[in-house]
Amino acid sequence: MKAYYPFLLLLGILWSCNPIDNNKRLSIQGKVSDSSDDPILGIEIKTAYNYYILGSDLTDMNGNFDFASLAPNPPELKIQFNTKSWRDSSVTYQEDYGSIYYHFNIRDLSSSFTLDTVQLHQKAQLNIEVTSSATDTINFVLKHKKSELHYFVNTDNNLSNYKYDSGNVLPGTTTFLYTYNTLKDTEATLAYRINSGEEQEVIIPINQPTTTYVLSY
Amino acid sequence: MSYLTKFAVLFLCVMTFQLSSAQEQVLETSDSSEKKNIIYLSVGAFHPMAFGDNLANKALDKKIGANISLMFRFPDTEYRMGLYLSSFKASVKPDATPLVGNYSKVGIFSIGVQLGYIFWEHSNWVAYVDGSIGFTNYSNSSEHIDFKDNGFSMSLSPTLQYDFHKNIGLYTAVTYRHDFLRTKAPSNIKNFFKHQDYVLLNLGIVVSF
Repeated sequence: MKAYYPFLLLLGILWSCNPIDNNKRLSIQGKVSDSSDDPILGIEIKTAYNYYILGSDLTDMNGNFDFASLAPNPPELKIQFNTKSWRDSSVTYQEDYGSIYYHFNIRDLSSSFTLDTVQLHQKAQLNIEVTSSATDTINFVLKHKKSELHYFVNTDNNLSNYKYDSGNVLPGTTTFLYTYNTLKDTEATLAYRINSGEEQEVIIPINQPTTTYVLSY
Repeated sequence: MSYLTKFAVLFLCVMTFQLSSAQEQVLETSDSSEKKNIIYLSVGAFHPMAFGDNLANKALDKKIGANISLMFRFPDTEYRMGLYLSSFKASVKPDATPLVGNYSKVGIFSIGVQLGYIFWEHSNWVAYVDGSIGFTNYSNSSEHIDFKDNGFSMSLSPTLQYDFHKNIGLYTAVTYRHDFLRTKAPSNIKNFFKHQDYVLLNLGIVVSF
């Protein structure tokens, strides 16, 4: 009998590796709109566990989606909006829009997920133009929204949806142009310090596909 | 020509042949004193067709399947009983992912018991109805995914059999089959997965002894 133990162990391991729950489906429903609350047609929504894609759908002309998904065996579910990865050769990815991930980690994985309107922002570019002075040094930190947003539901993960970029401009007479990818209809916060002076902060509204802020001092 | 068309043509040919042969032999008398076979081994193929608002009809492209049954006829009665195995494959329709989830292949296997009643015997002809109940398993897979839906299956098969030899015959049947799957799903999609309805067109041979 003992000769069978390794075989049984292997079977047990293989069984436990199955990432999909037998005899179960989930229902995913909701709506996708842009930052002006207008519905977006053809956004792909996918459910996933690790790299396994469990279900998918495209939004209709009213921005609605409603689909069935396989259920992951560890109750960790991602609902992804307009995402693209190396493993998933999505042809419906819309380059103009950012991506959103909802992460669910709950023991009693609910079988129905109704997401209220999910707002998908268009991508935008923020340029910071700084012309150095002959004598001053400037240090700055720019806080802006990432184009890929993560929301964690019922988890302790505090992954920030903000990106922090820093730079410094040394004395001289050159004009520098710093370019950042962010989301339209959001705000960026530029905190800067001239030499060893007090930190100053400016809020930059990003409401155009390309916004250029000239930092003058 | 699609599987369905080929199968339907073959099915109709056999039915026509059997019915016309039956008319010719109406005047023949059966030899009731002849000892009747009591064990029947049937091997056949079937074309599954689904109907209704369910997984089988809306999401699966079904292929020709195979079944086998071993039946025992209770001596001096019209009743028969036995076991059956049935299997067919299907692929998930390309646009059906939002309906069922992300997988591409399904193997549907069923095993169970059958109870039948022979209601007409004449010369080389036998007509009977078999009812079955059994376990059914839908093995679902795609490139990286493997999981199951299972439950139980019931069917009813009016069958016409023609014995062209003492021990060998041909049968055709139209089967109604209902699968009750255990799949848990929210109320808006529950029935889509719980109840599968099929009509199967069957053809096969019977070896009896």
